[in-house]
Amino acid sequence: MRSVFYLAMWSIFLLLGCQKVEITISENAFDHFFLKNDEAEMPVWVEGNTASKTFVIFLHGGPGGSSIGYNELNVFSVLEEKYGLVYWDQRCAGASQGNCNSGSLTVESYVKDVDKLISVLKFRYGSNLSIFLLGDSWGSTLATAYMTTDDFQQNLKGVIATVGVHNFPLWMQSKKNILEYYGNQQISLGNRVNEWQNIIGDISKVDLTKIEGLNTLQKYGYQAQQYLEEIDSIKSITLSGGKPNSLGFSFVVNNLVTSNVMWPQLLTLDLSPRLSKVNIPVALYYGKYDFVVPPAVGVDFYNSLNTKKEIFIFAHSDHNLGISNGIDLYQEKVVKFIETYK
Amino acid sequence: MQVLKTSLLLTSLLCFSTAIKAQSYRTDSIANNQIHIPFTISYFTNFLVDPGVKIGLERPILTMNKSKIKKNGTIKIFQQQFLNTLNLGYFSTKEHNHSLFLNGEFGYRKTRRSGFKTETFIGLGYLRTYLKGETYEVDETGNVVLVQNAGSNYVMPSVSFGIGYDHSSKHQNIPFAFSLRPTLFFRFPYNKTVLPQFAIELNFSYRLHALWQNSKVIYKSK
Repeated sequence: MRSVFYLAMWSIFLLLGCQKVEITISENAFDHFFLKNDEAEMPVWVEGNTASKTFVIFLHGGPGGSSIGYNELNVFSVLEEKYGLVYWDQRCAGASQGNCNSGSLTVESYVKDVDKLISVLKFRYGSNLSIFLLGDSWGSTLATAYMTTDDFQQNLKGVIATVGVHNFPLWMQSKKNILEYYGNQQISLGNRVNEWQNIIGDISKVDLTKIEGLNTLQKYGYQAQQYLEEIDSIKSITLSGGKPNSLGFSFVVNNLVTSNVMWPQLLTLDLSPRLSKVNIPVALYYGKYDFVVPPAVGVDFYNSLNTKKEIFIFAHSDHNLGISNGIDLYQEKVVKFIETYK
Repeated sequence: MQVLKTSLLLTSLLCFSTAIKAQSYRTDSIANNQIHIPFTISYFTNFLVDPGVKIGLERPILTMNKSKIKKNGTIKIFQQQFLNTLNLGYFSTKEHNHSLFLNGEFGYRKTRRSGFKTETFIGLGYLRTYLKGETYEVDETGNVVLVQNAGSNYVMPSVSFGIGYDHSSKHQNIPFAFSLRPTLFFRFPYNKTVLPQFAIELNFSYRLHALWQNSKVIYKSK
């Protein structure tokens, strides 16, 4: 009886441990695998047109966000028709499992992960891939850090930085500036005068070098976006769908832990001095009414680059550029950029 | 961790509140009876999304059969039981992992004469995940290697509460029971922290004639 039990147990372990390698080269691929690094088990989905040999790695926001929502809501469906879209949940983020040490998270550790992900993509799909990084918010910072580390940019055909930050001290100042600008504008127009006066009063006291200051600016930033939406400066769209996921708590736990570790580091991060070494094409996209990453940050980013570059500020968009108003134009611009440089 | 502490405290209170009440009962007799061990099988679903199964055995530690005469003259009979369980379970998280676990539980169960039962368990186990999909590692020289049996090891504390029906309390010859058990369990260390999970168990048990043990049974009344 006991030997039967042990045999059954071993059979189960062996069965679960079996792996078959599935690599799809087609116009409608749906591949799923994991990247393991430093005890982090990070899920990767490769979907869309892998036959094109042009791969776009989506770097999600946060730090501590997830790519799953973008994938399930088909945010990049237009891109998937043309390219292989790589959705990856970063270490200690989203549905990443394992035992990643969130205490030792650094920008450098994320950069190493991106480099290893690229190695795996080339191993699976061929070394002749044209690879682009498509960053969203923090993901754009990560893309910037990657292309300015060692000679990693040689692995890329280009970088698309969406609502990204290259210089966090400047970013903090810009967040304060945009709130003051629109606050004064709205007060003069007689819109929500009390609320805007309250915002301007409170942000005048914030310490731009502290997390508390960041929290205040973030809170008022989202509030400001709401107020402007009421008067139709921003047109948001809501995407619905998505699948139920039993790792919901993973998203919450990972996000909390990662944010707490990363934000104190990011507040002093300035990648500007490294930007002069960039020699690959860079596209920068921002929303005019983005109070989270104001377009002024993008203008400075653009001016700091000495390479083929483009910037576009979407007239009616906020921070959710990829998933709000302007999504069609956004995808059109991304496709045009990739087609030019792939 | 606060959630776990609160759950453990609540479970302990539930277990021992009955023990405190029992002081007013008079012990009529103590016996060492032959008790058949139930085999259990559960549909185990994590967050109502992941399908799974759990099988196990229940071992009674102490059984107390109590009776009391109520004010209206009727006799109330019920059974209290402290027990432990040993279980092997599996659930599948789509696109992420297979989870296999082995756990032991300590529980308290109260069964009315009608067969209605309530129960609570605290458990500790080992959970092993197996990633669903090829898993790659890249060494410092850039070599890509496929990792076999990729996944992680976790400690799995749990707490569950259940309600159900024990058919054997009225029909000893068909000794089956079933219960519905919401279960809170945890994966630790999950990225150096704790991941809470919530499962629902639909539990069916059958007392196996071939498996039995002697267990202490106390008869009390008041």
